[in-house]
Amino acid sequence: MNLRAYRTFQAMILAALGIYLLSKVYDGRILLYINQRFVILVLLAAFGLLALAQVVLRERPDVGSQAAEQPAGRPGWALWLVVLPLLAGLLVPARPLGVSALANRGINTGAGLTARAGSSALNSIEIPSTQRSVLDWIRISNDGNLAPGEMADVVGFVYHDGRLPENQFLVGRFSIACCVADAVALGMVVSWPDAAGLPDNRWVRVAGPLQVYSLEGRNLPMIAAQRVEIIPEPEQPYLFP
Amino acid sequence: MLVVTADEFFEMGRFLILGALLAALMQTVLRQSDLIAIGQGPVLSVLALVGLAVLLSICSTVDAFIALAFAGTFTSGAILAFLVYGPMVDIKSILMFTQVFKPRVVIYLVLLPLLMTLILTILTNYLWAG
Repeated sequence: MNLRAYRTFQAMILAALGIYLLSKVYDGRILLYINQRFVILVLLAAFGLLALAQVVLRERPDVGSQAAEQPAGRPGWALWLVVLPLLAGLLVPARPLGVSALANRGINTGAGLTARAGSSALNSIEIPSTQRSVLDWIRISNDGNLAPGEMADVVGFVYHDGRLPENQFLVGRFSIACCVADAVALGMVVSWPDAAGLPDNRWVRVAGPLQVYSLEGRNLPMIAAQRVEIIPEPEQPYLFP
Repeated sequence: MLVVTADEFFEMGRFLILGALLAALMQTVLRQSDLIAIGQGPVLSVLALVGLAVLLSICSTVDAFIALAFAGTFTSGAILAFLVYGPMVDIKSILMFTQVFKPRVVIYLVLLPLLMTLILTILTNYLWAG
């Protein structure tokens, strides 16, 4: 490949990456990949890539000049490799993690992992009980501040854990501290007479009073469900601690 | 000037991309519970979590949260090893090292921290767990 062609492709790939990132931020799908507090960095990177593309395009040697015809001196495959994430991003639809990912990761019903990272310094316990998420409840549980009888109203996917009896299931959410690579599944026990009738991975909204449930020697929050409602997958399936 | 930046981006970017591909493969294929199953005992637990740290390639800012999730199941030396070694060496960084350094230097960069980490964390396990 001669230098001019190489620079042209370079500029095109840089611009495509920038536009791709911008479009992800624009339609909000970026939040299926990373925690919201990094979106601003992605935005800056996108503008940086576009600016770089512009510079590379302008620095191309003129057509017919000696410089334009000399070999680029770099392997072309290195260019195409950078196209790979772009293609993957465009061809593979962004599908949020579901129950299938639990097979590799396991689900967490209340170990640490809730240290107050990042911006949400708002104490979970100050949120009205019916507005707390699965993450909030597990934080409160870890702090030992569970108050049985409080009304819970949470959204999550159904997961049948082998350790639970027939009439219980877990309502789970993935929590993303940084990016999907560190996704941690969180789950709250729900008791519901028809638990076995709910298929795994179906999104539900569960409401009912909170109880304390003891599983393998640990106290966990459990919702004694009065209502389990099947809902479409929420726009933002992940929780950001 | 900025053209050099673009060249650098493609130069290092390809290693980052290859490394990220490998790490993504590991994330999809590897069952954490299998690793946990082999990872008992003061020495094996350390080896298991060091392996996991390298394979998962999670960034250093959040690996503490992942480590917390292991707190109940692993020895404290193993978790220490995960926290210490994980940020220093992972699949992406090894690939990127090979681009800038000679093979011998890369081996030093990977193995010396590994040995130091192993010695100190296994020692921790024996001294504290008694």
